[in-house]
Amino acid sequence: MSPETLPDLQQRFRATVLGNDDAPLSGLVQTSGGSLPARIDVYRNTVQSSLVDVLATAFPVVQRVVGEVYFAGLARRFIVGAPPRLPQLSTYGADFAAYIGAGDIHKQLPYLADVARLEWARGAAYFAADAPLLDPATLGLLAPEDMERKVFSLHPAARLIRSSFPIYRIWQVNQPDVTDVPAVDMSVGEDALISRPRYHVVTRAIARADAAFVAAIAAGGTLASAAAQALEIDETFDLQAALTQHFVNGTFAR
Amino acid sequence: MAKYNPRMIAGAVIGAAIAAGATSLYERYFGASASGSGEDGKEQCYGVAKAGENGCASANGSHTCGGLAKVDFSGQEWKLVEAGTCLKLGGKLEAFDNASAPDPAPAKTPG
Repeated sequence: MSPETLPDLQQRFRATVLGNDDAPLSGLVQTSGGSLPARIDVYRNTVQSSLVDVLATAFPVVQRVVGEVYFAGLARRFIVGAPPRLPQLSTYGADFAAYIGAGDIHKQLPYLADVARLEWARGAAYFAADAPLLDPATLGLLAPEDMERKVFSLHPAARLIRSSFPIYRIWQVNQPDVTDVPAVDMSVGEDALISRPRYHVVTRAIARADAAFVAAIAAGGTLASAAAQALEIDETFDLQAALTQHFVNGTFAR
Repeated sequence: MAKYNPRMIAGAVIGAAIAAGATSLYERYFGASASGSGEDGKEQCYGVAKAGENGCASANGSHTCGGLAKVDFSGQEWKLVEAGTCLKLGGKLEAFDNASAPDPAPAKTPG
C-alpha cells in the first residue's frame, strides 16, 4: 500500500509513532540500515518519551508514588489510547486522572486518581485566565442587609478538589524536599482548594464545612445560603476565619 | 440548626476583610489605622518577557494563557520579576506600545 498523498503519509506516520503498530508504514521505510521495527522505534520512542516527560511534569506526585518505571509504562499506555489533540502541551493530560481511576492501578492505590485530579487542578490554575481578585475593602461599601445576599464569583484559577482520601496530606508528604515520608491515616477524607493569588499557585486543605461553603458559592449561592450549608456540615463553622483565608488566598474574583 | 443572622454575616465579612489586610475598612469602622500585610516582593513587568516566557494573559487581551507570547520583549506582555528589578531589565511597570519600535534592546544583564 503506497500513500496517496503527503497528508496520507503524515497520518500513517502519526498513527505509527503514537501507536504500537508498524503496519501503516510497512513497505514505506528503507530497511537497509536495520529492521523496520528498529528504525520506527527511534521515532516512536522520541515522541512517546517526550509525552511521558510532559505527564511527569504535570503529575510529579503520581510519579513519585508509583515510581518512575511504573509511571512511564502507565503514561505510555495512556498516550497510545489518548494522544494529544491540541498543539499546546500544557493542555495534555486533562484525562489522565480519569484514566488512572478506570485502570488496574485504582484497585491497589484507590487514592491515586484523586491525587492526579489535584495535580491537574494545580496546573490548570497556573494556566487559567487572569482576573482581578475580589478586593475585600470594597465589601465595606455594602449595607449589612445586602451582605447576606451578596454572591461572590470564584476566581478563574480557583479549583475545589473533594476526596474521601487525605489527598492534601498525600500530596504534601510527596513533595521533592520531603525525604522521610510519615505514615498517613488513609481513613480521613480531605478537600483541597487551589487558587492563584498574585500569580503563584496555592494549594491548601480546607475543612469539610468550608468546602461545602465554597461549593455553594461556586454554584451561585448567596453568602447566607452558602454559610447555612457549611453550618449543616459543622455547626462550629467559623465564617469570618474561612473568609479571611479566602480573601488572602484569592478564592474570589472581583 | 445553628444559623447566621444578617448582622453576624455582615460582621464576619467586615472582620475577615480587615484581617485580610483591608486597612481602609479598619479606619472606616474603628477610626484608626492598622498595619497592612506586606507585598510578596514581585511586580508585574512589561516589555521584558521573551516569546513563550510571558506570564498569564496580556494587557491587550490578545491571549489568555502563559507561554503564548509570539514576539520577544513585547510591551503588551509581562512576567513576574523580583521587585525593583523591572526597570533595570529594560521593562516598564505599565503596558506600553512598542509596535513601531521593534527593537527595544533591553539590557542583557540587570544593574
